[in-house]
Amino acid sequence: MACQRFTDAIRAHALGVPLAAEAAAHLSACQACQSTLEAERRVLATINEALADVAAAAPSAHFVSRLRAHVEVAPRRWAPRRWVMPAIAAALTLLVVARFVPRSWPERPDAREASSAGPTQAPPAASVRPPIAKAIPVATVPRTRRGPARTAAAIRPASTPEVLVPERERAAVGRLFASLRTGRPEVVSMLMNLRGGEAVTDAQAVTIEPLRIDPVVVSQLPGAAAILDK
Amino acid sequence: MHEWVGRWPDNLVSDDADLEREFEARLRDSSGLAFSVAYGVLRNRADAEEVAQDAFARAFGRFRQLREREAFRSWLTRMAWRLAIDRWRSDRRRAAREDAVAEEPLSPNTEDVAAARERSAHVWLAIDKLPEKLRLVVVLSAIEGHDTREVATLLDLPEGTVKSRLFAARKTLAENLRWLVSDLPTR
Repeated sequence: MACQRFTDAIRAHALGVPLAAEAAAHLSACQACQSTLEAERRVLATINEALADVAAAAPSAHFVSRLRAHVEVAPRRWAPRRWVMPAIAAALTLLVVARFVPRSWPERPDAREASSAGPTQAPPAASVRPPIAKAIPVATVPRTRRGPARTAAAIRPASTPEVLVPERERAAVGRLFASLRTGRPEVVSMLMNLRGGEAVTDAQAVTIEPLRIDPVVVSQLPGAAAILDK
Repeated sequence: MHEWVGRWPDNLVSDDADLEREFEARLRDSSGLAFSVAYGVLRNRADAEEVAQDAFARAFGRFRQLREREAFRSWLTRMAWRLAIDRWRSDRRRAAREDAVAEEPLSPNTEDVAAARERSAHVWLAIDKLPEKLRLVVVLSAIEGHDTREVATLLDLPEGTVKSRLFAARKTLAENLRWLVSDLPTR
């Protein structure tokens, strides 16, 4: 195999690349190049023989039935779809309720007293509150599945919170608290934390007591008569 | 809550039964392909069947996510290939450990068979050393009877790309295996 003149072209030719006229003419006359081409074709034939094993390989007789059985016991990701969207919608509803309900709660009576007791602030001419519905009695909150340690850490046992609910939101808050019985204590935390950053008091008894409204004193500001007369 | 769920748009709650029927048709159509792809990597029928089963199980689990159902064969091919490569790599590591302990020679029936097996083993060794994109094209080309258009469809590649990869793969293989036929008798 002394001739190296068109070796690359001849090997490429074995792979299917057409030969240039000059190379073709040389090949037809050169014994060494013909041997090169023959050797290259044998290499490729050997490769094809090995690859033919893959094409000829067939699975065992019961492969498809075993495959079907294997697939049937595989987890199906499309199954949860039926409940995913309603579950998301329910969670969003809870979030909306938890977000907006506390905003309509009135101030705490003790906070009102503290703010009106300041020496530079005049007392309000009148204190008008929206009508408050009867408080909702709520049963005790179930203990969390995560055990008492987390609950105890998150709950301060000193005070009993009040939840003052306007009439129109009573049903929504009732549903919210009813959901607590299904084991969603994080909703309690969220609800209570929204209200002035207070922690939940006790996992055993988050009670909603009837509203206690201090007597409202309506009096005229000093000097108000002169202003009104103008 | 039940009333609200009942009003959920029907098109958002697909019919699982239809999906399962469609998947069953795909399974009948493509089980051989998954097996062959896996076999092209592993060259062991039992292992290839296991990999094909795993590929189908995964495909079944994600079938809903496949928007273009016509691309299923291509999707399955890639999945079977990936699983087979993973298995092959772990087997290779295991085989290396076992070989270090005890090396058992092959016991061929005849010299010709032994020589053919040895040649085939060398060819596959060279195929296994190819870059993965070339290797995949070589194996699929063999499976699909060297139909480059079909291989291009399976790989979602232009046919020209498949041809150039196939050419590069065969050229590399020939270069690496030229020594193998130097002492073969001329046919």
